[in-house]
Amino acid sequence: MNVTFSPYLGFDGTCAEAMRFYSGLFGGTDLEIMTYAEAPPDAQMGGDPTRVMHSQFTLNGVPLMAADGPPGKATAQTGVSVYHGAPTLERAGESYAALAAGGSAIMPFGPTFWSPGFGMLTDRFGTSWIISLAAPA
Amino acid sequence: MAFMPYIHFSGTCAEAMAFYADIFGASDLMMLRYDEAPEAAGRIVSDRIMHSQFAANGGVLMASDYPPGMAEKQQAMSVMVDPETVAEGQRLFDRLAAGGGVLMPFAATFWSPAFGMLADKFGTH
Repeated sequence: MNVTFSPYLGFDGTCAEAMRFYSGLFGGTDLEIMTYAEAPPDAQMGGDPTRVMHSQFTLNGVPLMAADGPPGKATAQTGVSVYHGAPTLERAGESYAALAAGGSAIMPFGPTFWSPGFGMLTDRFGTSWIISLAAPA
Repeated sequence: MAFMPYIHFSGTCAEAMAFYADIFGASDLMMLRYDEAPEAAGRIVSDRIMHSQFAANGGVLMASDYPPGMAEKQQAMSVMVDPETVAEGQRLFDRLAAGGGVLMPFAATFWSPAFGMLADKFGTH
């Protein structure tokens, strides 16, 4: 599968926890988490060895990828969201509710003029999501 | 599509998306302005972009402008692109980096024969 554009999220030390949560929520079965400690020594990556250098899981062949920023240099996510198209209205609502728990709603999940189910939120890890019923292929 | 990046601009969405669609060779760029929304839905009188998207090589890139009066720069999320050849990667990197800033030069790493990071002139990483 040729995926041209994928979101790559940046966290400040909570990458592993966040990605385990997302993978569980969406039913990912191939989550990989690689810390800075696992980089080849000659790569001189530096950084906190416990932080995540790269992580990803796929859903229907589409990856969600993330890493931690270096300590003291990581910034909060702003100005970009992850769009998730859910297969059914029910699943979209469930995903919205699970992500919004402990986070904050930007636009509550509900019908809009362009979609029967649509909502925007920032989750407890600081990631902003747009959850929508996927358009029929 | 399971996960896609959705970029939020502060008034430069139309210009940025036209630039990206050209670079990635897309021919189906669509844009909807806030003032084109149905009146019943609470139309905002603004020529800012409410939604835009194009498809290229099986992927979709989507973006909008924040409503008028709202502005935030992009931080802590990047759009990852995986071209099929190093040459194509170099072409995309050079075109996107023009007028922007290079975070990590396009070169071989231990995980990829060619990898680079940049922030373009619109603030997209």
